[in-house]
Amino acid sequence: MSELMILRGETDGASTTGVVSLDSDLFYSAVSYFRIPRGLAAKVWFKKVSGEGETLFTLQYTYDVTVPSPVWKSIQQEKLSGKGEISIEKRRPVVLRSFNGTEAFRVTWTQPTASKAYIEIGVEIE
Amino acid sequence: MDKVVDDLGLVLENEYISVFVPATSRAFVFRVKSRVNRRHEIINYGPLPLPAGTTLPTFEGGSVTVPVDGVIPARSYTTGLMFPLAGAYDPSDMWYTPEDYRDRLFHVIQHVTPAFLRVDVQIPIAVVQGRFQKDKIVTGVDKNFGFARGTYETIHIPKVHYGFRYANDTNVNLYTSVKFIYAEYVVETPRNPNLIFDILARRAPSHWVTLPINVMDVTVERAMIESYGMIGFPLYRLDERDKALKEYDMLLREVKV
Repeated sequence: MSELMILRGETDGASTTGVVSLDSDLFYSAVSYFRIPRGLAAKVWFKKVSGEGETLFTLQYTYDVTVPSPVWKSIQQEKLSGKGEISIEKRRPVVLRSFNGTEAFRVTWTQPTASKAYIEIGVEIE
Repeated sequence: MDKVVDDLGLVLENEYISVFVPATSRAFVFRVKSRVNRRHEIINYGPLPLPAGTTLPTFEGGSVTVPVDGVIPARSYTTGLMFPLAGAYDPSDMWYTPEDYRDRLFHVIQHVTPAFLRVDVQIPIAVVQGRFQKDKIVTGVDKNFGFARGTYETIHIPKVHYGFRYANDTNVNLYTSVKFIYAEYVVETPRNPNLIFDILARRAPSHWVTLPINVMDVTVERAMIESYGMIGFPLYRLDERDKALKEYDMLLREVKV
C-alpha cells in the first residue's frame, strides 16, 4: 500500500511568517497540516521551491495534533535566497512516522520581506 | 507451488480456486473453466458511491456530511456500501447475482484511491465480521485494527449483498476512486474427492481466498446451500484422508455446480 501525493502551497504575499495551506488533487479543500494515518509513514521524496524573494520553508512535525496547542518540531528547511527556483530530490526520503494516528506535519514560511513564494512536496504515504 | 494466477492476481483457466470460510473451517473448491472477461479485467468504477449530503459517523463520535459526491470527509467512516451499476441484475449492487448464476464466480480485487483509506467488508451487508478474541472485541475500519488499506480481494457468493466500508483517518476531505480488477469465471466443482482433499491439504495448487466471515449469518448459509448445495468442504488433517474422502464423496452428491 502506498500513495504518492503532490502537495502544493504558497505564501500569502502579505505576511512575513505563516503556515502554508497544503492542497492536492486528492484534497477537496486545502489544509494547514496533514494528519498521518495511524501506523503509516509520510515519506517526503522531493521538494520544489520558487518565489519572488528570500523565503525559508520549514517542514514541521508534531506527535499530537489533537491537543489544543500542538508542539511542532522542525524537521527540515529549504531556503530560497532570492528570486528563483530550487528543486531537491532525495534518494532517501524524510520519513515522518505515525505511531498513534495523532501525528501530523505542516510547512511554515519565514521571509525578511513579504512576497509570493511557492512550494511543492512529493509525499508518499506508506 | 505452480503459478495458478496471472499478473493481475486472477486465476488462470483450468486452475483451481479455494474459497475458505473461517467461521465454518470449510472451503469451496472450484475449477476455473473459463474467464469470460479475459483481457478486459479492469473496471475504473469512479468515485465511491457516497452521494453529497450523506451523513457519516466520525471517529470522534460525531457526524459529518459528505460535501460532494464521492468525497469522504475527514475523520469519518462509511456504513456498508454497494456499488450501483445500471442494467446489472440488481442495479443497486453490481456484484450481486441470483442463485441460478451459480456457475459464475466473481473474483474481485478492489483498489481504492487514496490507497491509505481503510477498507473492510460486511458479509452480508450490515453484519460486521471483524473479531478479536472470539467475540470479545468487534474490529473494523472504525476501530484501531481489523481492516485493510487500499486493496481488498474477495469472492462474491450468489444471493449475498456485501457491504464495503471505508474510513478516512486523516484530517482532509478526500476525493476517492475505485478500480476493480475482476474475473467472471465459469466454474465447476471438481468431482474427484482425492483431488479436493489434495487441494485442501495444499498438496495440489490452488489460489486461496479467505472470505472474512467470522460470524455465519443465516442469510449467507442459506445462500450457500441454495447456490452450491452445501456450505463447503471441511478441512481435514493429512492423516484423515479416508474420513475426508467419505465425506467429500457424500457432499459431492449434493453439489449444484
